[in-house]
Amino acid sequence: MKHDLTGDSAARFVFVNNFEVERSWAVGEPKLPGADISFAGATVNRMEELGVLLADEGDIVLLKAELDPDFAAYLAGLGAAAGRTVSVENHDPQRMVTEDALVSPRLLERLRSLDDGRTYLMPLGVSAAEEELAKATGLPLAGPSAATCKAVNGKIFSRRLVAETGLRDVPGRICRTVGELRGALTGQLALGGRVVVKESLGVSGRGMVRVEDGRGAERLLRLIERRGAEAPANLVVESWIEHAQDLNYQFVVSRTGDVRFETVKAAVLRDGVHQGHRFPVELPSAVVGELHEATRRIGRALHAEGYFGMVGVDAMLGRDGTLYPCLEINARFNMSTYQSRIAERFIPEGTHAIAATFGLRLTRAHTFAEVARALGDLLLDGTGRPGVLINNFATLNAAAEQGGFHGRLYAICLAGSADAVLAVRDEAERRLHEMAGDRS
Amino acid sequence: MERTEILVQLQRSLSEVLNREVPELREDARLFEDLALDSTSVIELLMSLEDTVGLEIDPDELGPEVFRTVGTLVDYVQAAFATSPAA
Repeated sequence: MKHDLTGDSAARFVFVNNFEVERSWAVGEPKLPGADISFAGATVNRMEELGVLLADEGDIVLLKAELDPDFAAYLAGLGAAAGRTVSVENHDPQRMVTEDALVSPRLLERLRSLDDGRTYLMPLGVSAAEEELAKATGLPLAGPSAATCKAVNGKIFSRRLVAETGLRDVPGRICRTVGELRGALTGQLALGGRVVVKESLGVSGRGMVRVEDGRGAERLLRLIERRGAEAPANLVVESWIEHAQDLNYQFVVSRTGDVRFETVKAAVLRDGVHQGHRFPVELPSAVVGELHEATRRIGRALHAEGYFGMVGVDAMLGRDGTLYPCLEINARFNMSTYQSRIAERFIPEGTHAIAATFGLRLTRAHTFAEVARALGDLLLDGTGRPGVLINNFATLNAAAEQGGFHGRLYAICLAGSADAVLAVRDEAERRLHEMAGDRS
Repeated sequence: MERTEILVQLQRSLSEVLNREVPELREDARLFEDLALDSTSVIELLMSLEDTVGLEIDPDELGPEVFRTVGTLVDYVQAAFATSPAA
């Protein structure tokens, strides 16, 4: 990746894992009604810790707070954290790591001292804050401008790109203004089935609403049409593909325009509930071929727009075998990016993995030592037996407050078969709920 | 509209939006943490509430504090009724 993005394989990266950079890109953009109301900012902002498992020897990972010492020792014991960490001195849970860095003079000084002509800031995605950090530290960005990143990350851009590159699209349309939404919703519902309305620059999984039928459409229109027909909307309205398998594939677009396919992962659902993403994924060869072709076309088009860097694309495989190769382009690091080093080190041929998120209701903060004790023999020890590797711990206590809060652990579950890895995931979840005293 | 009545309507709307039977609501229950509302369902809850309580809600004026607990949301609806010309 270093050679792809900087032309220098021996470059040093300072990873700035500004999760949900999409929030910065969305500033000033029109939103769906109520889309700003729920947001677990403090927890998402601590996902920056995932970067620890991404760094190579010599690299540096910027953190909001130092690692729990037992978590650091655990990762070191596995050989999973090769880089060094530096942390900000002014940490505010509601700020992204970059924003913290910009108000931490000692950290800025430290970063300035790293400037040796081959050290680069490597953010998850580039927004105005990362450009400011580059200016404040003198370290160049290993990526394109914030304006380019924002432009290629919109869902409206994705739909246009799909049309222009001749890829199969999900039936749908674009609404630039509120006045266009009624016709789009009515037309889309007339095709049958449910419809989803998404903000062009909404954060993945948020900024969208599903419309079941005409009554639902009227309800949404009633809320949004109060803004006036000429008000900007920037929405995509698409048919909801029922019972499809969600896929996510990742590739790199180099500075010079080379496109390299990396991985594909599939969402695991049980009774409609998301269990995580599994890999490797076995797909019919025709589907794999289509994904590679989509990678080439999307990669080329992104490079023509001035983009280079990691790209994750959401795709769907319908029950009838129809592949929709591009629902959304995320031209930035993705969860897959953070799992790539782990995959190389711990997931040999024949091993099955699920990247899972465990949500826990907690009444107090827990240490990593407590999590390790709770998982017991399921905590991955690198000896090759099945288990669970915790790859983000800080999110467990990020929202800690009196009277109870929601915490999250990110983990990679490993076992010898698809069924066994699901069982490992279930048992880990059970043990963690037991630790939390949560019987729900 | 009486507070108890708003609570009943909210329970009905939440059951519809969350697609499961929501038991009797405690005023201190937190909408996101305890009842598992998410950002997509917030929009649906707003749409449903407008229908059930017959009140026009401007979501662009709503801050996260309104959606902290069942009680804060009921407070908001009650206050909106008090100032609404139709109430």
